[in-house]
Amino acid sequence: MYGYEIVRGIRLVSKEQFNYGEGVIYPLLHAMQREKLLAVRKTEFNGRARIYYRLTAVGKKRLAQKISNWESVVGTIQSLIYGDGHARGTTQ
Amino acid sequence: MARFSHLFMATAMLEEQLSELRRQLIAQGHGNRYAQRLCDELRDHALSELEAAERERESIPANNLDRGEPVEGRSNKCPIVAVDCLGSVQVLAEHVRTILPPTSLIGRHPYLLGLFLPSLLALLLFWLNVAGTWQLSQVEGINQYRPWLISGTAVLQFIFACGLAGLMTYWIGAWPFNQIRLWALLVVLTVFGFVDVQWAGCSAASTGLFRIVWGINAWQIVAPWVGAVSTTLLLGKFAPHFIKQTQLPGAVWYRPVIVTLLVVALFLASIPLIRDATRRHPYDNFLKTMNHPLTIANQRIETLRDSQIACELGLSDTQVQRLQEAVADYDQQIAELSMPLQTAASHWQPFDPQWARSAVEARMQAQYNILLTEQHSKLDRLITYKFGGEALLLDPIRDHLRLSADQIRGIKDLLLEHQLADQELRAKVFRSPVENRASLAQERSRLQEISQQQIFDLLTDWQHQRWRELPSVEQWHQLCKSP
Repeated sequence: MYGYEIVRGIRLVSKEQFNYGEGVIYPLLHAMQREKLLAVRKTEFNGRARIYYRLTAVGKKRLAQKISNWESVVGTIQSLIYGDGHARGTTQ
Repeated sequence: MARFSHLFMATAMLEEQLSELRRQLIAQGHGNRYAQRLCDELRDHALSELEAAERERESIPANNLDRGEPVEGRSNKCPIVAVDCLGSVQVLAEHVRTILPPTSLIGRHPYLLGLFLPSLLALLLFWLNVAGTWQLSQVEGINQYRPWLISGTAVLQFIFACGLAGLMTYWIGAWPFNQIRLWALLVVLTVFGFVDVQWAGCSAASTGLFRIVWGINAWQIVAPWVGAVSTTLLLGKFAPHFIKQTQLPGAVWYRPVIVTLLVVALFLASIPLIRDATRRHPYDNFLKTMNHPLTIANQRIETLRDSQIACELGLSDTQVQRLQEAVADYDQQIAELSMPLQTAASHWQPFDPQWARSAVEARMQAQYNILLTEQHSKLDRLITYKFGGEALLLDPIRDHLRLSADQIRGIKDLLLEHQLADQELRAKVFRSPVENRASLAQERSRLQEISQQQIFDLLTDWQHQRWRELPSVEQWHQLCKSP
């Protein structure tokens, strides 16, 4: 995916809840690339440069780790708010 | 028409904003390359959004547009809005600075600037070092500078090796690999490695560990380095996956460490091959000229040719030439003697120039003594027994020997003194009984020897004038016959 697709995808999937501007997204993508989480491929489209991003193996592992952490945090918060039974019920 | 006008305005505004953003990013300390990349991406983003908005406009019926209803939460003046999405350039630049703090040039290219450029400096210093060594080799007393030269060369070699490793790591990290680049990198690094081996060999030769001699089979030198570079590349490519499993901290820095260790290890491993495979290296010849006794002897001979010292020693050009030949022969003998040491010993025997120097000095002294004795015997045969001391005072002889006024006066006095003593001895012989005549004849002979020695000492009065080689018997005859 290239930058515009990512921004648009976030916007659409989140139903306009997350409407990040490109000023935020692109530096973040570059920072992730610097950490080797993303790999890039540069192409040309209609006479302008376009950079496609893809997850590296390291990035996939980091993503899995972040999802796991997020689920853990969400589960903990839910258990704090609704109690163990509800949390167990929701996670199941 | 209005649509193209909108598009043109939007693009112009976008370019203006991007150039301003670029200026601000560079002012913040971001690299030119990064600023260009971000602007390219933002341009693509804005134009993609513009194109998407155009497509949406085309898909909306005209009556909806007339009513001015927004589509999917967007303004129907989408071209302008799309460009305005870039927002404030200051805010954007601030975002970038927060998320990606600017780094210095050395921070962006740590291997290139931190390792490779110093290695270039080391390269320059290396050649200065070599030039300095060569200059010093032209004078005596090179040995007192040798430790400095050796350590300097070794340190510069080490810096260059680090630079090479840094360059390799930089390229490995910076380039997406394809086959052409891999081969190009392999060729370049092999050439670098080849040069590096030679320099390393030079520095090792200067330490006396072994003597690099150039070129029986170049592949024996190239092959280890091709192997080293290939292995390094492969490990550099795949090492991150192995290292990642070990969870090393500071994972960014393991690559240079690994590559440096590999280069050093492989270089050390290739030393025996280099040592066995190389002969007649130019630097070795250079070292030979620095240490070889022949050089020392030649320097001495040249010094002997210097008028003052030649005058002191009283050597003629012919004598100097003969001395030079004798020293060359002797150097050949030294080389032949030292050769078995170099080849037979399991460990390299460092060549000891001091030993060669003292040997040559002893040889020169012996040769000089031989020449001196030769002069003495010539004087003995020619003057005393054949022509007499008076012959020295003949004009042709005097000119030939370049006798000074003091020497002539001294010779006259000596001859007069000798004549008086000889007359006394002759009178004693005639008056003495027969049995004493033998001892008196011995006494006369002794007096003659003393006189001869005195004349000889006078002729070798080195403070006055250069003493040319004494003439041969035939020359002497001709000189005496000449008017």
